[in-house]
Amino acid sequence: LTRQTMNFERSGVGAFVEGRRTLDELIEYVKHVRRNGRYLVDDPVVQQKLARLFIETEVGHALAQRVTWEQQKGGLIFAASAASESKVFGSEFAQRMANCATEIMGMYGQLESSKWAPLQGEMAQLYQFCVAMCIYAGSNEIQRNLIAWVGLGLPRFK
Amino acid sequence: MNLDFTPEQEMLRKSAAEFLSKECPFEQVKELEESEQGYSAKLWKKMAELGWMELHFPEEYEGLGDPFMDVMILMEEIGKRAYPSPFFWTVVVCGEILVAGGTEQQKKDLLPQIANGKLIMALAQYEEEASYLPTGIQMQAQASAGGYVLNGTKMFVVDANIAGKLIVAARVPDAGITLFLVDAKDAGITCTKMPTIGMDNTCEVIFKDVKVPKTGVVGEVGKGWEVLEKVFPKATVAKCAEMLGACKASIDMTAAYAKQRVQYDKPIGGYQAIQHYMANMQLGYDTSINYLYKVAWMVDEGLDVSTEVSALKAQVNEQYKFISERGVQIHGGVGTTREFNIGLFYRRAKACEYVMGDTSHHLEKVAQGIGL
Repeated sequence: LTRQTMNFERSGVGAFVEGRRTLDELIEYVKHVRRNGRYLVDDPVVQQKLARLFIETEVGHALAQRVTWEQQKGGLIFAASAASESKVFGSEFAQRMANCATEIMGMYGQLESSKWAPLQGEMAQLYQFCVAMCIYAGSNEIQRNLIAWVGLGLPRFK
Repeated sequence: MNLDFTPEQEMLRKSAAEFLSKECPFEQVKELEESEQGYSAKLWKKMAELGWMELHFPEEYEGLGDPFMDVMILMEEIGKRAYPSPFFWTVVVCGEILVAGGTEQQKKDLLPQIANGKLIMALAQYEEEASYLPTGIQMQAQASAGGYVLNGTKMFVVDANIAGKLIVAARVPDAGITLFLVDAKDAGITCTKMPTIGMDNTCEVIFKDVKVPKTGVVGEVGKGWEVLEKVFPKATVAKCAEMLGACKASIDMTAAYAKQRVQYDKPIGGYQAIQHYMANMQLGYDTSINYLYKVAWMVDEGLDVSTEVSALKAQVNEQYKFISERGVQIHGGVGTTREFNIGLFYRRAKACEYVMGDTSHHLEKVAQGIGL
């Protein structure tokens, strides 16, 4: 596992800082790679995909900051529910990032670390790791149950 | 870094929530949106008495000089009650246009009138093309004796039907986009309400030989777009605050319904599908609201927020639509009736999507902002 994928695992503030760094690398990549007669950056579809990823790093970071703040203050109820939210959002964001990046890269997106692989093959790595992120440390289904029970007070039946 | 509101801001929120809950329950919201005027003059006067309009206006013009964050708190509470009023377009848009770009005389004359509830205003910017860009403004302002003459049609002008004055964006030949103060009841103006999903005061306004004296130019000729660009980020954030207040209300209303509606011997909130929908709604809200506060704080710090504001609007556009739609779904059949209130938010989500730029517009601005 690379350091980068482990940082995504944390789903705290660090994960979104790492996400921004990956996005910056992706932006550099699309500015320098040509396909079908133009730079990838000039494809409006690529522009929209990257814009959406940027928005996710922004809002995910803001949520993670709030979770940290509440934990420091001892706001346990919000923190418990919001920590679940951060885990769900962070892990699924990692999926969206890995999918977007490997799509943008075209056939190169499938390459693991090797001389040919863009971004040191880290996105191919993340593509395979992100599915585990949605399952371990409490699956996202359980996390969603927790958000509903703890965060919204919905009833829990046997 | 302190992420909490001050005690004074918490007081403002509490008093606004109490006032709106008492004065404008959902039954009245529904009456108002069916009325021709689309707002309550009585309530508007009470809001003026509470000092809401002048919160963020500078003290030199009888304002309170409070931070923009305070206006944002009000907008959240307004959003929670789906309360229809001219507050956004009169105070947050037109008021701020005057503050940012009006002449001294205009500020001295008009800001106090807005503050005491005597003046309602509307911004006439968009035309048939429905573009958010400056190129969408093609109406010409021809120079004539002592001033200018306006001819043309403006679309999607909110509150034009109840306004006392309009701010109209038009091009002065060889000078560029200019903002003009126009009496809304001028004989040359024809205002028609357009029927919308939001059941709001969205109007078509036709101008025929409408004369504007030189003193009617807001600030300087040719500087109109610059002024609008100064105001749009704040206005966009304020609108997002209203939208997120509405998201919170949608979630609370839906959770309350899910806990008491029984089907097959269980409250429907006990079923996992419903719990997962609601968890997704809560997640959508929590990722957006904390970003709203962050961006609003940046606005108060005077930081350049153009990319962040666009990121926020694109996010909130999608979340409000998602949350309100799921809210209707969870309510089941009654969610589609007028008797229940979740539908108010579903319709408003669509209306708000277009205010200050739609998702497509803002995604492009984000793309530009991150260097693509």
